[in-house]
Amino acid sequence: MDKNIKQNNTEDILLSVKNLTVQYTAGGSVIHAVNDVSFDLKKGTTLGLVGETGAGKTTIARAIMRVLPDPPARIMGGEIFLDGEDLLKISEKEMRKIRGNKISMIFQDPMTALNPIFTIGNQIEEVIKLHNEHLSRREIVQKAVEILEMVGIVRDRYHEYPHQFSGGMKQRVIIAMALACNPSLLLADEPTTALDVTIQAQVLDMMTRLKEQYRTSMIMITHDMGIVAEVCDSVAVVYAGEIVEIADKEELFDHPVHPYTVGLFDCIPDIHRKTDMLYTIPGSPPDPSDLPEGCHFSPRCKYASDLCRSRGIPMKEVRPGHFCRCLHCDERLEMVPSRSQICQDDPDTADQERGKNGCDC
Amino acid sequence: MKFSRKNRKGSSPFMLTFQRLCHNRVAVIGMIITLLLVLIAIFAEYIMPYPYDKADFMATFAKPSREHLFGTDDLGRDILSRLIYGSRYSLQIGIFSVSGAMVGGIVLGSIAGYFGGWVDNLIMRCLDIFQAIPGMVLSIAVSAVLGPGFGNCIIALTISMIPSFSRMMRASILNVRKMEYLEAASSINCSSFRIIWRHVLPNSLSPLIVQATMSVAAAILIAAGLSFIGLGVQPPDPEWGAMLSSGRAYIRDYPHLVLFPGITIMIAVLSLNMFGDGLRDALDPKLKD
Amino acid sequence: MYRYILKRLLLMIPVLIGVTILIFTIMYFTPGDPATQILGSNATLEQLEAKRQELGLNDSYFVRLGRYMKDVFLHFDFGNSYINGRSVSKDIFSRYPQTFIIAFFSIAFALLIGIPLGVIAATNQNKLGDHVAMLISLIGVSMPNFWVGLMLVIWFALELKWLPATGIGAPRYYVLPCAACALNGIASIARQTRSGMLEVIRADYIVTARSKGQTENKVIYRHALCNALIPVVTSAAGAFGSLLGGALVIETVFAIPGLGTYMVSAINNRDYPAIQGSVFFVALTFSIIMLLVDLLYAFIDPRIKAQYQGNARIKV
Repeated sequence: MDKNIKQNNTEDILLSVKNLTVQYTAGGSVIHAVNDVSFDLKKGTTLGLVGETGAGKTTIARAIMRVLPDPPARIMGGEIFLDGEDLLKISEKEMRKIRGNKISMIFQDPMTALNPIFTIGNQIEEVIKLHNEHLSRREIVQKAVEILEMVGIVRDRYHEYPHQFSGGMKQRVIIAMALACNPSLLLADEPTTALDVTIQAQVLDMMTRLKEQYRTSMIMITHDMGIVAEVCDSVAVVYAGEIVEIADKEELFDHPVHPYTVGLFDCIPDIHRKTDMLYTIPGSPPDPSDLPEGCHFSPRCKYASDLCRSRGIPMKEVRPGHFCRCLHCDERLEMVPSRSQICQDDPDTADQERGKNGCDC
Repeated sequence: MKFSRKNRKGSSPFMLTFQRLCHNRVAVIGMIITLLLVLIAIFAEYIMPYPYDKADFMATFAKPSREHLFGTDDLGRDILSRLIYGSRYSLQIGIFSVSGAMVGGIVLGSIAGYFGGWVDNLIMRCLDIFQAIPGMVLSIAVSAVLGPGFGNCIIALTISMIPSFSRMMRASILNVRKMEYLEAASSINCSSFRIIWRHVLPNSLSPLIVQATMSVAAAILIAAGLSFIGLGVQPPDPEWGAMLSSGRAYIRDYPHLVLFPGITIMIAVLSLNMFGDGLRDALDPKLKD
Repeated sequence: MYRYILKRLLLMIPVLIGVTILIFTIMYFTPGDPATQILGSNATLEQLEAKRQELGLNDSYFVRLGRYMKDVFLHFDFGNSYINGRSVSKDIFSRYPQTFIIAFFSIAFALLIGIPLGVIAATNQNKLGDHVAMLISLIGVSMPNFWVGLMLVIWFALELKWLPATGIGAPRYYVLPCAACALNGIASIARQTRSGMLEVIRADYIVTARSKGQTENKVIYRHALCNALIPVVTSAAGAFGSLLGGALVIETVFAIPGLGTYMVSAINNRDYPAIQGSVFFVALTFSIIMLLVDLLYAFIDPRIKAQYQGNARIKV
């Protein structure tokens, strides 16, 4: 369907997801978690997947990793190319060589993502050992210690158990584990949501630094526009399992077109303006087992027309490299005023906003 | 969990639990069989084809036939009738001993959990001692002292089950004790007894109910074991374990004397376990998936 | 770790003392006169009185309790049987191995068969294999084990004549009693393992393990099972208790000269020293099993272990 997505110099593209569709079956009803999602990720860049809780962001990441629980989840169709190889076609055995090695993942909740009964050293060793069979035991430990020190954990704590670590420290361990095999793609699933505000910035800075150092590409899943502004190169806005708008970060922040994206930006409180009530998008996300006809956002959209509700909305290029899934995108492009870039203009404000309100609208 | 849903669709937590229970086929089967057993026990006199104690020396050791569906025993008594009448013993032992243990457990557990400190310590150490002896052996020891018989069997089982109920009650009290509504209750000067009775007990009820259902099953098993080694209900009373015990002598030639009582015990215990399993899932839906 | 073992061993002592007091007290208040039991109803009043004096039955409760405790804990002496005058501890020592063998093998089978069965059921949740395994387990926990014993005798000993029905001797004599006794344990361990696994198998750290590229077998048996076993180990202690109790009843079925048959005949003869001694031994065995279970618990769960290790950080 979305064949018209920009495909210039393919060799630059690390990951290419095409028409990915994932469904969950629960008690007889089918939940459409991810519907026909397509995007490309260039080498060394970061794509932000933004959307509300339950929009299907995590499912996209887990589908790329192929770690969705089956049943109930099932990849119904699509292709996921990593360096030109379709991850959905290769065998489980080949996939195991990719997991943790070429692609690795950072989880949302560090409290539960580490196995409580193994030492953290042990858990880092595990991933190194799996993908470096030639290394001796001593070399593996050596490497694990190095990577731990890189995320700022002293080697004295190598033999400690997860319960002896704080949340931020655990997330560092998880990051160490994810980077241990020098992956080419890092999937970060809301890596800072469960952390204290003061720790969030630290962890984020560290991730960005290490990513640069290793020249890793990254998909950053978040609902926080502040994080997007800070770390991403391009942004995809996900709503009800669909990408509704995708563009470079500057482009999207300057010219948001889709009403939902605009709504997301409006949710961010402006410190300079005095308001009594924070803005929220009216209504609530649709029930994924019973998606509305046509544009899934139409019930909450004030611009929706009958045509919006009648049929599926195709992706359309509104400006070069800027795609939007909205029938009214052209007229809206003229209507919507260009936004000031919240990150570049006023980084302090952006930070504060992120801390104060995660914009989980 | 179930209380937060209280207002949705206007149904009470009890109804919600019941609805979930009804969706579980295994639990429904268990519930139906259990109910049937209770009915059989109540109306035993009207259901049994022969008087349970009527000996017929012309037809001893009869194999199962149309006259005697499950055959007859060494004195020519109809086994089916004896099993039907015996359900009274087993069910009564199960229900009375568990009720007794529940009352004892709730009292001891509440005191220990609510007051804490040395009271808690004292009670728990005493329970430790009781629990160092396996339930079966404790029941054997107690019935050794009290002597065999129906009532003594119930007392023995009650004593052996009190510790686990107390522990459970204490654990759930410790859980709810942290909750803020208890602080609220004590801030308006509620008495300790009232707090336990009105606030703590209802909130610790669901694990207790599940435990009780499972314990009835366990009690029936232990009671059968006691009778089997000659310490529970004594022959000629048609308790199931006692029937097994007296049928054992003829196992070589007439295995149906031990086959049917055993199957009956199994069905009774099985249905209670099925019901208990379903009840647990219904009361605590998160365990299901 | 040693501190933990030591602490648990020390905790066992007051429990065993408590058990001794408990059994003694129960038996003390039991009606009946031991002197009459020993000498028979034909004895004269003088003879009875002399016997009472000899046994110290006329002393107060506390004096008798003190004497009993001293004998038990200092000399490991449970007195002599009222019936045949033999030393109770000697009798128990000669019978204990039979009971121990049955209990030990039943527990071993319960773990060796029950745990894998539970894992298989959990990993195939809601598929046919799961339903069948769980139905069999449910039936398994619902059968009285002495009845299972009887059925095994009918089938394997009387019908097929493969194995001896009663008695003790060669290893094959133990096959049926152990099988009858283990069945309950297998079923209950399998059920507990399954529900433990189901709790763990959706945990985040399992996804972490998978996304490291770990093989499914390792994910299940290394990452999930160890965590799932923590609650299983706790409730397994109860299963072992009923297994031990069951072993005593099973002995009656197979006419095995063990602790169970000893206890039953002691009860029928109102032979109090023998009852006290055998209950004490069962409690001792059970306490040791519980101790082992607790150690296993601490061995699996670092959060427990850490409490007793101090915060010593080990250098790499």
